[in-house]
Amino acid sequence: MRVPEVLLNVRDLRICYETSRGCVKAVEGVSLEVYAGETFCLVGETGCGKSTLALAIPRLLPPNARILSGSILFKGVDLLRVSDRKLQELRGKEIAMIFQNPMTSLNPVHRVGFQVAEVPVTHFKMSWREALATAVRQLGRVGIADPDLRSRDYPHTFSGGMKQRSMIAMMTTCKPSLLIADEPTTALDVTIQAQILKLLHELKNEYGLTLLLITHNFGIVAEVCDRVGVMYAGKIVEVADVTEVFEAPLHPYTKGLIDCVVARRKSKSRLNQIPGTPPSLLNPPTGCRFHPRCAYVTYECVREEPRLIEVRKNHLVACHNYEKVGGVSWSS
Amino acid sequence: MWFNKERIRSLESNEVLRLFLKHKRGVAGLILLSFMLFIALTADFIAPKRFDEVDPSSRLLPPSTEHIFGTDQLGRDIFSRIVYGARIALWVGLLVVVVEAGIGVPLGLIAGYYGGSVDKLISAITDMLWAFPPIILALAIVTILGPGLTNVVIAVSIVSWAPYTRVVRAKTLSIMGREFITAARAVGESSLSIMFRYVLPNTLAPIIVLATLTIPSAILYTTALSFLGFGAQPPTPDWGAMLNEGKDYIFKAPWCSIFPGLFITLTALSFNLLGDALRDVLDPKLRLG
Amino acid sequence: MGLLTYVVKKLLIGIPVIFGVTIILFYIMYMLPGDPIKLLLAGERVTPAKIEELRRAWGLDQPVYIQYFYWLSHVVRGDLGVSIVTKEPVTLLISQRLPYTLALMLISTLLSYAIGVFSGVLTALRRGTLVDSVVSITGIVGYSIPGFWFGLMLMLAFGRYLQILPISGYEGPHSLILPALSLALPSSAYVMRLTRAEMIEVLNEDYIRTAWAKGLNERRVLLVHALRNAMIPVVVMFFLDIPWLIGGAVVIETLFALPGMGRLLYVSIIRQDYAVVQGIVLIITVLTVVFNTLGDIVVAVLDPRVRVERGGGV
Repeated sequence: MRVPEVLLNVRDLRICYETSRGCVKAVEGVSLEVYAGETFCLVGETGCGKSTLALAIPRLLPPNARILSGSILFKGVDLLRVSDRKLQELRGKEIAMIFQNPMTSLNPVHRVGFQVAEVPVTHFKMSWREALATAVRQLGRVGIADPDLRSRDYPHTFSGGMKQRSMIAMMTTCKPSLLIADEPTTALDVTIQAQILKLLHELKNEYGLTLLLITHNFGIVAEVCDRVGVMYAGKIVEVADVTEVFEAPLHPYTKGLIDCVVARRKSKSRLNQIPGTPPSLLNPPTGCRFHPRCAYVTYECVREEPRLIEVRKNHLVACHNYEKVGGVSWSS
Repeated sequence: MWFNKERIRSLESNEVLRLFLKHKRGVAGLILLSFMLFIALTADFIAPKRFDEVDPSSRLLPPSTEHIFGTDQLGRDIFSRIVYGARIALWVGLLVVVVEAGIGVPLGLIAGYYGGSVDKLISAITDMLWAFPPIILALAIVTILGPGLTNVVIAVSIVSWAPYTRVVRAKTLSIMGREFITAARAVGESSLSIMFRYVLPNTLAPIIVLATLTIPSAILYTTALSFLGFGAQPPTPDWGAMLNEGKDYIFKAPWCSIFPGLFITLTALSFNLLGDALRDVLDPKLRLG
Repeated sequence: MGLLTYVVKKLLIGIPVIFGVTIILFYIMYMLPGDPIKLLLAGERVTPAKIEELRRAWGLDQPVYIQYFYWLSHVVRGDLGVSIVTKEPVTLLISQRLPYTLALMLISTLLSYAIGVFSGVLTALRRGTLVDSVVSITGIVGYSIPGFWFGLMLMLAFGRYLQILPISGYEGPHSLILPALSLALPSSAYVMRLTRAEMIEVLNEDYIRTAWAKGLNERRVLLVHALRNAMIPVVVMFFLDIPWLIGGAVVIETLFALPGMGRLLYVSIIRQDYAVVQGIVLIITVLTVVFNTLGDIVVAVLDPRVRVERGGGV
């Protein structure tokens, strides 16, 4: 069996946000591997740190964010220690990112074609004429009708779905190795969501790119992902293939999330809920961060933080009591 | 009825105070303003001479222990005149803002409340008036009405009520969409009542900030008109008028011009600092138009 | 709608606005104290019969609105009346003075915006640092200082101590430096504030993050993406400010004894030479409308979102 190439290797990353009330620990010692050519989904509730993690890779964090320690290796290069110049070279060309809110992600005073064409001009030193032609082609490829005409329009004349498509065009023109998509469909209509996901999937296969998809929607996970990483309160609690996650989740939190989703599908009379609320990231709970809400909690959970270990083949979990959680298959 | 007490929640009052004190500029402004208020209020006690006390033998004397700011071309003690001038400056500034708001706020309320062509008309007039160079317009008004401080107050107020209308209108429009307004109208409450009981209280914060920030320009305009000779008439110790008199002796007796202008600057500065801090605290989204 | 349509619309609106303002203007002039006949006669002595004749010729026995049309017909032909004091045609007086005022306004606006935009961008980029605090405070002090006092102080400094610039009268373009500085000071402080605020807001926008994500270098992100957006309100303010500076010019020209239109206005008011006053105010009005319309047009050129038809209002 072929050993998969590791494209992205995050090691012990710690990030916090400086606020007037202290430093909010958004990402606490996260380690992660993303293999070339796969679609990796990073899942979790709002505020769990998944967007922070995603933004950290191309170093697009807001100014009040502090990267405390760790490394992010991309094709062997540590993105956290690389020069600004090298970073600029990588962004848009090797590492691309599309964001959650397409409505505000395009510059309102420049034409769409111009904004797409900027990328090959910057990275391939293309002439503007060539770049604009490339842009038109790419806009057509992502499903925008009349791309030649539309490329000369301004963003405010585009719908949300079209704007997101334009973003995708912008970010895939250079055929990057890694495409990070931070909740790309959250702000869009359900019908458009499916189209965008399909588009991403197509482009991934066509260009052979690796897709890191951030989402809180398990439905999307089930549809497009190869592997899943579950985050909770700034930590990765489980990593596994997508079928394993749905059929045999090992972390209580994951199990709780899956139960919610599947219960709806089986139209049970009651929605299973995970009791409680996510913890404050200023002063997180001791030991395992999930313990206040956990049905399987033991004394060890409060005392000692569980480490993320590989307990089955390609299945990592951070829980002292994962054996008790052990999955019941829902795949009926 | 339950919606009578509905009010858009704003910061609690002691939270406001706490934030304000953190803002060093605001505190500086407050101190400066208090100083000006102090000398204005205690003018009778701290002024060594009367502001119109003429003494031909002491003309154009430089600052000394007897006359700490020196004397002017008629031998009057400049320090005394400055101190009485503070009264005028503060009073005029306040008056202008009261009149401006008195015109601008109702217009803004009406424009925002009724919308449609009423809004368009009021907005058009406001825009046109605001576009015109204010000093020219004020000059024109003062020329018609005649010189004097009262007329200057009227002129400056007419020229600058536009910001009030704009701010109040914007705030009114944003409030109009809320449910409790629709509810009030559904129950048959009169327009006037709605405007006063619901809309107006919510516009108070921006109005206060605006008032603090427009006092300096009111002072600057009125002193400019006095500087040109159209405002306060002698022997009124208006700081602008003092500059007008002092400019003829700028080289022989610079103190006649230095001190009045300095005090105008300090007074305007105090309000600007104060207004800045107030704005950050009360409504961070409000910006200088 | 396209840009062209928008521009044409704006220009068309401008015309009735000019008329509207001339009506208001005329009414104000009508209210001014002073006998209009004196304006026409310019001090000549004539018989009562001649006065009556003139009254009828100029329609002064007619109601106000008829008088307006008489006046308008003269204005359109370039006849703004005659100065009582110097007996010269108003148009001539103004045309002699206008270039100085325009030169002064141009220089001070350029100065003001150069200083203002530069320091605004600088403080926005260095937000929260010492530089930011120092420059911002300087700015607040800057717009608290009355321009005419600043001018006086400059006069004092350069007249008495550093005698390198003229402080009175017009001896050449260098005579405009100190007056332009006086005019520019408070204005530049406002410009700096606006630029800084706009820049900060723009830099926080998502599309700037997108620009970085594309791998663009700092210069490009700042110029092509950030400034291009942040400058829109500043450029608009540039056009709207110019008429406002005329007001300040009245005071500054008077102070520095420059032979400009502003000083002429002041002097004419004092001398009750109302024909001149009327003429100058008319010119100022036209300039105001012109620059405001230009400002409206420029906004549409710079910001494509504005070209879409929106509801009216302030």
